[in-house]
Amino acid sequence: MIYFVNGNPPSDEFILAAYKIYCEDLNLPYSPQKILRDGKPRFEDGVKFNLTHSGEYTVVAFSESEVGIDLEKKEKRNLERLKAYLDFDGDDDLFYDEWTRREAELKKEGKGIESIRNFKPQFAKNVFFAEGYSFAVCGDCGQIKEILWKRKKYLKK
Amino acid sequence: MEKKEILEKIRDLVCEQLSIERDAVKPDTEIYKGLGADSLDLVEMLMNVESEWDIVVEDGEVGDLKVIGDVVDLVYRKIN
Repeated sequence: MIYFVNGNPPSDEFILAAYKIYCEDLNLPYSPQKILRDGKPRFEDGVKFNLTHSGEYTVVAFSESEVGIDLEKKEKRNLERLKAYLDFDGDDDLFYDEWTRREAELKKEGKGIESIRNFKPQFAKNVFFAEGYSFAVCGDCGQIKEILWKRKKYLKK
Repeated sequence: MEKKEILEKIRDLVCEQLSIERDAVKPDTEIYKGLGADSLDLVEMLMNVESEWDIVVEDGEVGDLKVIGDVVDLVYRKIN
């Protein structure tokens, strides 16, 4: 499942709140989790997650297997320079789609953008998220759902 | 060039690029969480830094850049 919020809440708080909703949505037993950061961030209990943020949205994906997501807002940038960085020859929208696919798959593998230049994604797919954004998913995630961010509601025990 | 000057120049570049206040850019400011930058913002930031000081940031160095101070240190090493 993929959850997003319109806003930029503290990332750990958002991940943990969204995880509770994920367990409710999938009728999974819930227990509070600790985020482990030795290597790719993950929970102790084995559920995998990945976070991305761009523009007005913060998004987290949960899955039983490794997952990577990337969101990029299509805003004013020196795209010619960025296309040259990726050695990419295509229009602006396709550039954003290429970038997000590469980054989503790298993040699934626990790697960062230091590897993006020469990386050719094989499994990541672009999925519509919102107008003016490019979004890509690598892994088995399911549907996308919005969370209304009300801190007290989601952290109440 | 001393690190203090490098920081001031990076502040100029980042504030113009991301349209944020100068106070938001400190040595311990996290690039993603603190500045609200995404990966394209980071790459653009590094391109601006490369142009400003005529240096090259290698792909392998990008992953080590977590806070603004890391960028300052990187520039300082490369120009001195």
